[in-house]
Amino acid sequence: MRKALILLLIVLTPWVGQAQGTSYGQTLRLQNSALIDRLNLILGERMKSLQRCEDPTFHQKALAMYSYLKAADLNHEALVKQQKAILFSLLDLLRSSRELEQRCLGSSQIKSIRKPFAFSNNSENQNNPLNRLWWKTLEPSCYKIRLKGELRHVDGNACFAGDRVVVKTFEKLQVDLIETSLRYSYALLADLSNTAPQGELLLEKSYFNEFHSNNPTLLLSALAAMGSSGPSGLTGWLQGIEDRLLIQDLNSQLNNEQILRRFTDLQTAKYNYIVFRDTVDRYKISLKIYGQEMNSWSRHNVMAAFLGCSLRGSFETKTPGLVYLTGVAYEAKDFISHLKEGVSLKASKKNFIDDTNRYKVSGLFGYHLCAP
Amino acid sequence: MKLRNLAGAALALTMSFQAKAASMVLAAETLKCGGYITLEKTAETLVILRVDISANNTCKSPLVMEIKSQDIHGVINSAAGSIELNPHAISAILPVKIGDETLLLKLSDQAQREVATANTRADLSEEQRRQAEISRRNDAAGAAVVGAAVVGAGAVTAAAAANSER
Repeated sequence: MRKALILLLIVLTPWVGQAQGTSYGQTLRLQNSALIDRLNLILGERMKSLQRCEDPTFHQKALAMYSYLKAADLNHEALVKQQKAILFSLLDLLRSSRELEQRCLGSSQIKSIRKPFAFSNNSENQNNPLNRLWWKTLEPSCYKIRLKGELRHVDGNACFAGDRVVVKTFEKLQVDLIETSLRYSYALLADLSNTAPQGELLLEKSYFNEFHSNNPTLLLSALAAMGSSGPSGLTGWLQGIEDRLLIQDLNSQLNNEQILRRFTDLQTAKYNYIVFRDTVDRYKISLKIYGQEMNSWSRHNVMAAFLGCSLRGSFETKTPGLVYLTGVAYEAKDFISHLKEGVSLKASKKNFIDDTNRYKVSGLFGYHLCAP
Repeated sequence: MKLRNLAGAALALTMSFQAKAASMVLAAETLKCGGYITLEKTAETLVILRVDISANNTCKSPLVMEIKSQDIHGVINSAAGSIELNPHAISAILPVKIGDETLLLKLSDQAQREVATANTRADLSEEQRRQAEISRRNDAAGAAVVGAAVVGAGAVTAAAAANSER
């Protein structure tokens, strides 16, 4: 047992009132739980794919860890206390699985647990080559989840589309997604601190002051990275962008600390963005992006504007219509999941109309904004 | 020289007064020998156990303290002081063994809610990193209007969180 001495220190800092709501600290713990859940699901898949590869030590350790975490309450205090140790063990086991795969099968590739979003075979989505290309580009996927996150319910529509395009856009522009998003999120908070209540804040100005360039594509990409889905602590699951980055990192030479740092940094950027939007609402600040009012924007508008902008080069005039189609596809599934979760028909219908309209309006905005 | 000593003494008193006001007491128990222990949440959102066996008591010294759930076992070598606890390992009752007594610190529902929003120092290091970045940028930008504290310390309200999804 670890011996601990009684400290002599007396805390002298004055008490300040605690902010109401979900604190950054709470989000940190919940996002680590979501990460543990995701890594454990990946480990489960690795065990299946390596069944025929002989290594009793790996299989024994992996099975013990997988079974324990699968049955455990990941938000229980005892587990939360050991989060970092558990994360390190999972990452070590996944690294061992790569070594085993290399020895046994001659290659090594950790894959995501994502499942493709299913479409009807008879639909326009399958028959029209342009639509097929669109969906191939977007690669909409769904995830197996069990945690509630801060929203306090298990997401019945754990699906995400467009993440592939976000990650690819950053790669194409040769800019680091995480670093850019984190820097921009802090820049927005700093500018907000210097905006008078009921004043005006221009997103492109904050971007220019931080990066000293005017780049609508990159601005919308950073906005999509941090604002097209909530932090994993909030949602209880790792959505598309963090899933893709995590898989990239697991297949890289990064060490455990570096992998966790990158995950935490993107989560922090997302948390900063929610605090930013929350504070904007509270102080009735007018938020604009290239002249467009965006106080009413939700994550759907952010993704739609990004897709309208970044894919116009490939899909030209068809782009806004295809962005709208994406909204209809996602919201149709969302409509059903709302009904299953007990939301009224009237409210579910309103949500469908409102949110599909977001794709229509913002997809068009992004398309025009990024005109050459 | 005399003036400086006096100023120092006054400052020490103020600091000592602030220290009392700085923490929120979540639970308290008295030892048979007259000393007392309190579970407190500090301004930094850490949870500490404060031990005071300094005044009008017959507590033997040194006293052995053991908190199994916190993996703590040691000798109290000071008349008054505090130790940081892990809030993630505290539930409704925290048993604390001091000398030959076991005290049960019972937490009210409100106190449990406070513990739920408390942090370990490891949690705080990430929070402090974020706060430091926000402060650095605000200092560079000059006077805050909406307020760095509001933005920096801001917690996400449930409404904002819910609106960001679905």
